[in-house]
Amino acid sequence: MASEAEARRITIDPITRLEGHGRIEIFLDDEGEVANAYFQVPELRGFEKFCEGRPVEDLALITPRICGVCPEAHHMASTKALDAVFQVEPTPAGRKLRELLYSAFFVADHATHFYALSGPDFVVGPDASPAERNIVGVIAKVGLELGGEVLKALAACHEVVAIIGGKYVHPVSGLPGGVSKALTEEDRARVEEIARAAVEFGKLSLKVLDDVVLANTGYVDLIRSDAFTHRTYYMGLVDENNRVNFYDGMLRVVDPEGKEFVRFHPSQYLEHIGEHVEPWTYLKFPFLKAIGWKGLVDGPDSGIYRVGPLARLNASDGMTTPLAQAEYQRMYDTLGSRPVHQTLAMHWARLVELMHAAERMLELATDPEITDPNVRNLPTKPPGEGVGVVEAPRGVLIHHYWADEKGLARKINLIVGTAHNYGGIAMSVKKAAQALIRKGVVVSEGLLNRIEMAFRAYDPCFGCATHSLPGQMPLIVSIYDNRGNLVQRLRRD
Amino acid sequence: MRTLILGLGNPILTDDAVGLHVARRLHELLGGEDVDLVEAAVAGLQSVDLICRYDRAVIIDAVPDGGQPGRVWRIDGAGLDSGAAPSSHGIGLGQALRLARELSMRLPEETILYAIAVVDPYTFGEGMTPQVEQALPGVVQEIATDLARLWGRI
Repeated sequence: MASEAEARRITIDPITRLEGHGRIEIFLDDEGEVANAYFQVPELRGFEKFCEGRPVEDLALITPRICGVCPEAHHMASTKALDAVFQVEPTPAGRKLRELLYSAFFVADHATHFYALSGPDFVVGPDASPAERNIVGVIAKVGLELGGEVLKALAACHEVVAIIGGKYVHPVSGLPGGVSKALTEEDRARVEEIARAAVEFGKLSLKVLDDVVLANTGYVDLIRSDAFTHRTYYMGLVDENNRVNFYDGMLRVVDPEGKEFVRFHPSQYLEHIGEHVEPWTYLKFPFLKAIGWKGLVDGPDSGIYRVGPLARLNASDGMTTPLAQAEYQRMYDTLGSRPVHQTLAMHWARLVELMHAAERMLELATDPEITDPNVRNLPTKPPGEGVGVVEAPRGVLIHHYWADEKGLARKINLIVGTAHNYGGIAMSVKKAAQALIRKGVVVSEGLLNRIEMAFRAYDPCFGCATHSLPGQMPLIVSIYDNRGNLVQRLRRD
Repeated sequence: MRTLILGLGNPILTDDAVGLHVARRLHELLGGEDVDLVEAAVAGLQSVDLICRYDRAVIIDAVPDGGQPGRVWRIDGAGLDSGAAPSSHGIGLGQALRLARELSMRLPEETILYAIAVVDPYTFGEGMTPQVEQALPGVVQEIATDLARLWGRI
């Protein structure tokens, strides 16, 4: 057996190590300025093929296995796609139970991102050493008590997923036409208790944002800085009043001025979204067909759109719950315009949504219909084709299945949140590189941090964009001169 | 004394499932009343959630680029705390354990991670590669012997 000393030299981290290295290739022009920056991630193979020929209803259990970060989102999109495949609507209680589970998941996922992933950038500081820029550093700064609150909130939300979904982290309750089990009064009372605590936790998190981030003019300047700004289109799921909805609704796109560009039923996505292929990456770039692909550029003439927390708020007219609506208003008032194009405002938008998810959880937990035992309509029609769309925390998640008459999956197509944002991420990485490489001089110290900050704002999960598992992604940045010679290579394992 | 054998991995990602298979066989071999088996595909804080109720935890996972297929790496003590750089999403086990300790959460007195070198954890599929499949009995034996040496019987 290998010794421990030997083992320490290789980076081993359970589950989180699977992605391999993210590669960033930066090409300089004659002047030594950044001409192009390419962001690539390793590929996992064969997911669509793996699914083909299996009973289509199994996909609600298989697709969550693509990725360990948001199995709940895949389960939900898949369950909705199966509703469509079997042409069956869930019962009111079935639908509400799905949304209740989903709201709890949103609180947990957004809290993880804010405290563990973006927290280090803002709370500890973007220029702190990697040794301090982690959640342990965050806790050292904000106090042990808050750390305990965060862990308690996460555990409680996972408990809700387990109560309603039947299993810890990987729910199994969604079925075409509803869910597999009703909520007992005893369990409902527990969920209500957790929801009330989640609302308090949402308020506490907004206070942390105020005290630690917004009170620091340096951070506010960073949020507003041009280095992370792109004037793009935005897409998000909205209800009949154009309010943000994570579970259901119409897909609405606004232009860089904030005007509605198009609003369509999710099943029509192929008419509106094209996918551009570049030779240097196997991940495709989705774009608005009506505008067209104009390359990795922003502005009204480029079909690049973005999704995720900030995009959802930009694409909506507000929130349905009071505390979240107040914070929505405050964010736009403070940043002075709508839409907000500054990518780092994504972190603020994430907390507006955390607040909303907590409030929505409480609304549903106290809904008289939530314990109705009638949780499923049995499918009676033959299977066919179906699209299911939800908002995953990191953006619009599309599942599209084609089943044959025996109910076997013939073909599947998935477009995940991170894929929609690939164009935006590529632009943000390039801008971050441009700010730190001037006349061929590379500020290598800050470069990795800034590039990471740029893509971390999107909460990217190349795990499922490339069908791999999530987690730690070591980076290799290679910089080439105008003749294509490698001049510098930076890496972080 | 309650012990957890935790197999980590994705059951449909070829060799990534090796931790699940090894954990299952170890549990058959060593399991008694006080030994639980859990199979999961989670990371960071969630894995801490799973182990925190036990006195001792053995975690088994796959590692690409770990040398010859079936090679076993033991990581425990300080080795577990290192190696977790800031990540693009999710926090590593090392960071999660440190955080839990800072917050005075209950943790096992001893946690050992065995990482098993694999060939292909990148392709969706239900079977493992022949190399890893063949190495499996030896891997189980090696870990069982090592555990017996460290802990006596579990």
